[in-house]
Amino acid sequence: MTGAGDDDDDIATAWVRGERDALERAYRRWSGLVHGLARRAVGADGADDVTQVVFVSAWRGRDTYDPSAGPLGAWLVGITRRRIVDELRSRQRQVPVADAAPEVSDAQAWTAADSTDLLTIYEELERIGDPQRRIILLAYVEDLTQREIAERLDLPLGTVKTHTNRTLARLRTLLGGAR
Amino acid sequence: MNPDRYADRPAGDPPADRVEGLLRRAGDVSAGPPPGVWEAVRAELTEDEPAQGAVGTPRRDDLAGRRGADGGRRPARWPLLAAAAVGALVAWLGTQVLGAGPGASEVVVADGTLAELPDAGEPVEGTAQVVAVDGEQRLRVEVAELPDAGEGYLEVWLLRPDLSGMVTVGVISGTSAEFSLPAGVDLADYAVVDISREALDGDPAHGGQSVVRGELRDASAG
Repeated sequence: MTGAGDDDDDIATAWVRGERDALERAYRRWSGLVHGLARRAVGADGADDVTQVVFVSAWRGRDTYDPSAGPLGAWLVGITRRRIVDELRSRQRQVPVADAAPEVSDAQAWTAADSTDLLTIYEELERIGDPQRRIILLAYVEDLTQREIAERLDLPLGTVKTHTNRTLARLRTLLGGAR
Repeated sequence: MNPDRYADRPAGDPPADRVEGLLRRAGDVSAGPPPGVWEAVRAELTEDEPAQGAVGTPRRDDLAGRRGADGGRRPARWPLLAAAAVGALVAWLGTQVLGAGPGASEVVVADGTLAELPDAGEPVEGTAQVVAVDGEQRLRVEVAELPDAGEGYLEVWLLRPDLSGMVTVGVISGTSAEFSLPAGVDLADYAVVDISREALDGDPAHGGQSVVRGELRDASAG
């Protein structure tokens, strides 16, 4: 039902063991998310660099990943958040203050507050996992109705509604509490 | 221009639909980075691995990629090794599927014996076996005695019989080791298991000091 082909927990287990293919599996599973979030925060060019640094530093620091503290995906999003901050700081040092208005290559400029909250949302979705994660993404990224989601995931409509409401409430609390 | 409707939101509780709004605005974030990013990750980790000596760091090099592209940068220093010499040194073993594997789901797909190379200094014998476990191929290497690594370390490779290509498999630091093989490695092509003595010089290329070598044979054909 995950549709991802590789089970998140299996990847995490391989990661903890330091198996040689764990990095590649994790990259396949989460590089899209890492890059996508980074792109909203630092633009397309910076996103490549951030993605590279995230996976290199994650692998070098793989001993610091504690599975009991949360899923691997959430840990990687947390690293992404820190690398984005690094990237933005280094830009501040490079860009003269007078020219600080960023030339954002993306169609829409994301404020730091927005991209930070987006990271928080996705980090929490990785923490919660499926089916809640998929339900939320199908609803608000793919714009499916609750009924369509229920059919797609083969879940009772009531379950989809309950998951949606609870997960949204949890995410709103996180954003509210982050300030 | 699409105005950022949240940019100047009031402080305090977020609007009820901020979560929804951000998700919608971000859209699909899973498109993925361009392929060059993975190559860069791999290259960076490969470069620092000899210093760390960490088993488990991916060192896979599909030769069509990195090493093939910049193969001229690091000239391989191969020992003289005529094909006939390999044939004379390596004792072939047409072993049938072994019943000794610990897992019932394992299938031995290839195996062979390992033998020392001339001038390697010490007699070394061992076996190599490739098993399919849960859809991935794993290479098990066992040697009766670990060859002297000198000042450096010992590294396991898969080579083409004509030495026209090599895939790094990992570091071996005991008399037995198991490695996950990169997906897509064709064992009929990269059939030679090679253990080389490598210096801790940061150079990820084969150091040219092969100490043990043997060829894998398709277990079903034996």
